[in-house]
Amino acid sequence: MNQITQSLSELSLTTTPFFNKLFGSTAATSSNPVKITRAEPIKKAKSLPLDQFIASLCADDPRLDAAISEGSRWVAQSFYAEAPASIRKRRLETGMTQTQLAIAMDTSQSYIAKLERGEINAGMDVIGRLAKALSMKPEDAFILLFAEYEKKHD
Amino acid sequence: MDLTIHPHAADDIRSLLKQDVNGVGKLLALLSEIQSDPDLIDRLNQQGDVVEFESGEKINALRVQSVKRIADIWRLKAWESNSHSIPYRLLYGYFQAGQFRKIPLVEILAAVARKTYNYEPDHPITLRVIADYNALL
Repeated sequence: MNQITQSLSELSLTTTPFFNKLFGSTAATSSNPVKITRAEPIKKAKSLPLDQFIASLCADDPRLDAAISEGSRWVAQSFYAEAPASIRKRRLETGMTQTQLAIAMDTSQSYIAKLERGEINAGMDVIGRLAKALSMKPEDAFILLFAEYEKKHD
Repeated sequence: MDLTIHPHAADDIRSLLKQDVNGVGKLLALLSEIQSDPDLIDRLNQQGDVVEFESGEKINALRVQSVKRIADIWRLKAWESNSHSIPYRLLYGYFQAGQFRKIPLVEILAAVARKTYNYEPDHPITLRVIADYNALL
């Protein structure tokens, strides 16, 4: 027995009682020490951002996209009926969430959010795509966008 | 404002979806709008109340402590007074921006059919919401 093997054997003799006590095993001996296997960590479900959650639900149930559109029209009637004309109100009346409008305009939800808050100096291309997605004339889309932009920069 | 769905609330909504796709469509459309227009949740909260889970005659130290600690759990009462409302009760925690959170967070903790839950103190949903909220603190 070389020095290293001897040291390991001595180590096993000293640690075996400890592991036996720890794990309550009577089978472990110096010649048959306890084998420790690494336990997989318990995976805890995480909270999901709303958009990600909606996307997963829509993938599971194809009826939901139309139901959310109808829901957006309900939100417009219930909570924005007395609000002045705006891109947000028009979007809801058309039956779209920001995410749905973003898909229709081939852009991102965060871009739509900035557009609605008047934080984007929109060009002709954006006005054209917005008007098409919201089924309105480009000049009407421009008026609504300009009103938001002016409100933001006043 | 960030808006997230707790795994337990996600299970609630999936369960509701099996029975009422139109109601869940309304609920998700409203949540989408709350996320994009924080003023909307302020308006809804003006019509709502902080949930009080105390039963009155059965107050004990743990319950008092729980009530204090769930001060930021809210319900959207507006849904209950409107004939066109959604037949669900929604409970959420509101977490303000601070040192470790750049923007406020609304975490949806439960979505339950109104006819099956009325904020009973010992209801499993109540106990679950309190536990989930405390775990988020």
